[in-house]
Amino acid sequence: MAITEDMDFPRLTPPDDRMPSGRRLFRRPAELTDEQFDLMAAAWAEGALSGEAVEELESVMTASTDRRDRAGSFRSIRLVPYNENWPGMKSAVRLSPALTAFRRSVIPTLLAVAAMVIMIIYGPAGAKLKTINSRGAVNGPAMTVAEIQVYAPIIAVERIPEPNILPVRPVQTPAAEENASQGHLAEGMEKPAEITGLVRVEPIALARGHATASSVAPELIPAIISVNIRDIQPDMTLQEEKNWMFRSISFLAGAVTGKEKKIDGYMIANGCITGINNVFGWDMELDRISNKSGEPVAVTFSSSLLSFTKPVNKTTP
Amino acid sequence: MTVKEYNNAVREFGDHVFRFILRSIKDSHRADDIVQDTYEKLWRCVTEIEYGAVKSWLFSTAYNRMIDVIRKDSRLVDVEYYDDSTLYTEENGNDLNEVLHRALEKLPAVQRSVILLRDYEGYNYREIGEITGLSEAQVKTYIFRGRVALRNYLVKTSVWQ
Repeated sequence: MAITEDMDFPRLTPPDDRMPSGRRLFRRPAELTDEQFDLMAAAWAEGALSGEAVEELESVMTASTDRRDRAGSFRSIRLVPYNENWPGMKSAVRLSPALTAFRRSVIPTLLAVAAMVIMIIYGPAGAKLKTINSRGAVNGPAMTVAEIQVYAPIIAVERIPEPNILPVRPVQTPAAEENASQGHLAEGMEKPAEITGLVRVEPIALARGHATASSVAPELIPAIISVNIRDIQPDMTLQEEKNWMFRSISFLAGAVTGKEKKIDGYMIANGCITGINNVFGWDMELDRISNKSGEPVAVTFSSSLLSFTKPVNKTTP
Repeated sequence: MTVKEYNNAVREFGDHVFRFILRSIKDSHRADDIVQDTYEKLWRCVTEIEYGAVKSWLFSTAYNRMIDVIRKDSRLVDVEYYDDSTLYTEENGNDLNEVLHRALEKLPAVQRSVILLRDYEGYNYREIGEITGLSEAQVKTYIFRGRVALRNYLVKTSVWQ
């Protein structure tokens, strides 16, 4: 077989591989050069030869053992792939549009819920904590905490090392300061309402009824007296704290939706609480109380741990 | 093609396309980028491509992207004439497959690609021609010449006596 010139890519054909000219139009198999034979052998090993070409090559191989071995060597030239994995495969996998939308809504909702929980726990609502369980109490009864109405900014917090003395001392009230210096704190603890509206103190370990400071488990006392609320800015009023909370919610809502919306604090809070109930199986409720004209006047929150009612201030969101 | 089929194409063919590109350019970061670009392009026209044709489409797109990258980096050697004076060095390794892969790196890019498509993926000449944009005759010529070059490498580096 004569190897003809590749018209598609003529330079691929070597210069000595032209068709013979003149009277020797056809080349005999035995006249194949090594390079020509190798090309044919490579094609033969690939199974790409057929008809006369196969017969021609086999006749050459029969005539020469060296060329038979040479042709046979092409059969073993096969690349076996290594086990190489694509490192970016995971990033190329796509989620379905529905799943993407689900993830884009659920994750921001959970973040908002977490933010809401944090604000409830550490914000002004935390000061409304009514009761807590005291499993470490020595004498059995649950420790009670008095509710102290707060309308003025925080003035000072002072730590007292004695374990059976209240760790908080309001300094702006002369009467209270006098009572504290004379060791009459027990009376103050029994009548927390008397200091209502004067100063804001830490909501801890004030006894009500028969509970006293001594009923607190000794190992809990250091933790109790270490409670500190100095992190809150002293000049931040309760109203400013509420405004801060709603600004935070507004910022979160804006970050999630990407556009400005009119803020409905009740809707946001109710959505968060519903989300928490669904996720954790809790039973918290947030109700809006409206007047006859339908305008909201108060919001009531209730759960097994905490319940409070706050009037709605129309001047602030 | 649905999203599920697209993800199947990622899992089923991602490694194949990656190792084809990796063996062609010997740069894992660039190979990763090229395959990422290929799948990104597939995602953009996912509804227009049938799942049955996606493998060839992936190899073809990745191959063309690789050629663009090589040309951009001016690393493409002349596919018709190349200097083989540095082709042969003494081989000490005994693993034939490993030596063959080292020899493969010394081939021109087009020969390397068609041999990889032939040996790694088992494509026939027509399919290789569709992927690389070459005619069937050109594919055959490149493959046969590549085989001869690989054999000569084995002989001249004393792996084969």
